[in-house]
Amino acid sequence: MRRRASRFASLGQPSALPLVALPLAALLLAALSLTVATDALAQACCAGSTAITPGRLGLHEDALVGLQLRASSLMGSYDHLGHYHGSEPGSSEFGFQQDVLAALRFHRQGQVAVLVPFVQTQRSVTGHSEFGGGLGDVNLSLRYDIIQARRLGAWPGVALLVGLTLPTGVPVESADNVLATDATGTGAVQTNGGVALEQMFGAWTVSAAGIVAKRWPRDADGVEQELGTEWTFVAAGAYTFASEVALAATASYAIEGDASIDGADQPDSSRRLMTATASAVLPLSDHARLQATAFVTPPISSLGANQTALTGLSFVFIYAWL
Amino acid sequence: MMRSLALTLLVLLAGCAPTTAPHVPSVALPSTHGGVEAFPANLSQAPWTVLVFFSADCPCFSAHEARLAELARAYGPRGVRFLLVDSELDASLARDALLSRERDLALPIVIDADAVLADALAAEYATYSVVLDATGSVRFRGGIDSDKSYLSADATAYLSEALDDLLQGAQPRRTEAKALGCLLSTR
Repeated sequence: MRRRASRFASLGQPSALPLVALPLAALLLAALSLTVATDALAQACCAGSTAITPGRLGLHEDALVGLQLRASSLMGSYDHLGHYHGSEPGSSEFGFQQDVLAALRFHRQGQVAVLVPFVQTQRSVTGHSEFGGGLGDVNLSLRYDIIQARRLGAWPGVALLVGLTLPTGVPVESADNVLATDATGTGAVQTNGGVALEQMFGAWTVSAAGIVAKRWPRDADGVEQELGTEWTFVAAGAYTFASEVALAATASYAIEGDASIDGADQPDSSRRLMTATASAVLPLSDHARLQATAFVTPPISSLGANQTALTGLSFVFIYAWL
Repeated sequence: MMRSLALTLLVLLAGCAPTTAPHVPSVALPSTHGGVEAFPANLSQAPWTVLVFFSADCPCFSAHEARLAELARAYGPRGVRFLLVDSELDASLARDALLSRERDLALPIVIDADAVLADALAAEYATYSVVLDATGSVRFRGGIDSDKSYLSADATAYLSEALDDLLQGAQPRRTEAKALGCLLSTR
């Protein structure tokens, strides 16, 4: 998951409406999904995996393109000790993102994907409100399923994950706007690798993944900065109905080491963040599907550090070729 | 057991399908219609036999049940015999007989408990269909049609086309086609 740079992360105070509306919208979506689901189960092979990872090619899919729309609202932030603080009264921050997705199968067990994000931020502090944005950091990824889930019965599917994020966005030090709303990227090249496990039990899909990300040093106004290595752990479960409507829940926890400046470690700069998501996938045909996701950073002390806490929704439309 | 697993893993890691041509093994499998289906001996009962690989909870297979029944009605009188094959780990005669009644499946399901047929015929996905002649030669293998779970009127009817060609004494216009069903869990 890409994280936007923000030096004003703790300033926002979202209005009450979005905080209430987002979970309600998620519940409404889940209810709508269930109205088209039936009591019967379906084997999870075909929809469960894509419910957990929207841009991933499903079984038999050779290529896909997609558009993801994402909106988030800042709730507060965690300090370096892990204490959660709500946003300051009179300030607010809303994030918007449009991601263009594409994936291609280059081997029966291998696929590559690209994600091109466009990021906008609406940020307000007392007496000043600002909107800005632009192209974010482009991500390339590769997945190779060494063993496909279900192929060996009790053995889980095993996949290798490799990724590269390019600093195509505007880093915070290069932003022109006063509140840096035009900052759209981290400014650093990021490489990552990981392993994903996946198993299916009837209509249920469960998966777990571990990913390590190395952020390479970058020059920021003559100062060499390097973010710490980030470890992300993801656990997810999905249930697929006979109509191939799928519901999924995911929890991820990211832990990052101390950053360094000009080679010197910066104490208390390490970050961690937990994110919980609930998703629903609605197949429209053999080729098209719609997915909606509600996500939240639980505003509970000790679940994060040096990070912002967000809540939001995303919608993805995918068209795939078989 | 370990050797078999190691061999399987080797194949999976290489990402390769078996390279030998599919063939019908000598095996006798129990049928939900009673008795035993002996391969290849029973193939002589009809000029053509169609084996369709079954998966109990696969949406793609479920979506094609009515089309399969229609194919059996249309081609049965013309000398084509249809059998469903359940090669999955959870296959059982009692379970599949019950499913047949519940889902009104008129076609017999043979229980390929050790996946002997699936392995020999390179079946990996539900709805994968194999057309055999009376001698056991594979004349077509692949999906029933180009639809997955959402059936369309303009789907390419792979199996039907192959049967039409064979019944006219011609080679099938395509001998292989993509099957879009769920991955069979056979090990």
